[in-house]
Amino acid sequence: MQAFLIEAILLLFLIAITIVIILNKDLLASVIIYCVFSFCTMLLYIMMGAPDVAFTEAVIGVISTIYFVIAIRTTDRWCK
Amino acid sequence: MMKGNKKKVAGMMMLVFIVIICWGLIDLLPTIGDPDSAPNTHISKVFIEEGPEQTDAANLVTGVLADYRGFDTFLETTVMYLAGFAVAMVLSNWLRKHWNADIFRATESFGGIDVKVTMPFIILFLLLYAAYVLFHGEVSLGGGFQAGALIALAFILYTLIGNLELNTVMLTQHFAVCVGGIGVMIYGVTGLLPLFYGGKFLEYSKLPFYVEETAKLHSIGIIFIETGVTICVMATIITILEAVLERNSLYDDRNK
Amino acid sequence: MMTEINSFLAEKGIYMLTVILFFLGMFGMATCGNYMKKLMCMNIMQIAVIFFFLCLGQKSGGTIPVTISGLLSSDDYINPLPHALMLTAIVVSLGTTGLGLALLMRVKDKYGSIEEEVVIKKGDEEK
Repeated sequence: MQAFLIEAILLLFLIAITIVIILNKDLLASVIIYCVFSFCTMLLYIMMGAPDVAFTEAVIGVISTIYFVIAIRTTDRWCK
Repeated sequence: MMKGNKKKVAGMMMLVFIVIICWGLIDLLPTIGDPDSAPNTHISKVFIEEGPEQTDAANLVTGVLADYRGFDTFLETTVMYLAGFAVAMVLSNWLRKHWNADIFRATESFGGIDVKVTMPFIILFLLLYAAYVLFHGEVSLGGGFQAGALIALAFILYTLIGNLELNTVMLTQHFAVCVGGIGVMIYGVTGLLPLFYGGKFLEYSKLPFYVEETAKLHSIGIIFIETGVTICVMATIITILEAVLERNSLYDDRNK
Repeated sequence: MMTEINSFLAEKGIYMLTVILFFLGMFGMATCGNYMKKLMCMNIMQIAVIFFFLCLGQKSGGTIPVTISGLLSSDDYINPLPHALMLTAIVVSLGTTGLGLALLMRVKDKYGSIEEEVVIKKGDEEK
């Protein structure tokens, strides 16, 4: 029965992370925070009883973070 | 001045949308966890009750993904392949034979641990785990998509430690695109095979293999298409990674 | 008190938070001037949609959708259909992210920047 409360707390955490990503001026920091975002999502999926989806999200979150990091190297790191 | 106004207008619009949806439309949605709500009643009951017998897969998600909705997954795999193909096309204007990933190359051993000695063990177990996930996808958690991503992660770790003697593992970008196409082809051929024996597209019970029960044929078909999905996902991830890395090393050369 | 909070969350609260997350992602896509940040916000929006789909498949009192011997009634398992749909959606989102990054690098090559203002200004000058 307590599961909904945990989900709500995790969702609030996700919203806070999103606001940080939008306001941040350092793109590299944004990408690392995006990695944290995807791991929180993974916890959320496990709370919802979807371990298959959580497994996929864990692997895919790491790979998309790597893509972002190597793309930032060629493009700019700081944004206005 | 302009920018601030734009942000204000967009923020107000989003707030209005949120308020409208929260006060007007959320009441129409079913309560979370209600067993009698619309998404939990019609077809999903059939999937849960008859799925394990019909598809011979203990993991219901794999059964739905690979068997009941096999055509859907086929096109999703094709979309994944097309994404890798499109990345290779978009970034292919700077032609060069050999790429080297200087960004990931750590030649110095850090902290007394030699990376080149320890990493191959991790890669070995990662590959073993990927094979486990692939072949046990219908019994426990996992499946083709996860196994492909794990193999690609092993490749990324391999790139991280730089040049080893195992140059045979190297997949160049153009070769990786071809391998992705082979993955989609395995899926398609498995789907087309029952057509020659009087079945429909992706009807596994008409596959031309001899087994005692028909349900076993379903698990054989699922393993075939999961292999195709694994190869396609792995090749696509490697293609995108190498296209972006190649661009990185060329960018460094230009800025020297 | 606890049961009231839980019933409120189950009926409305979780959906509200998901809607807020979705529109935050959309707000980021609309207002951020940097293309890479737009891409990240698009991923966040996608995750809100995926989470909404998984909410619909929830079943109180159900276990994860892997069959256990002895349990065969449909109320004992969580609905596997949204899981199967969303699993492919997550993997395809990786493909779209990669393609977006590739296009972004071409934009950087052509215009020298990935800021929206600079790109629009240079595009106007070329006319």
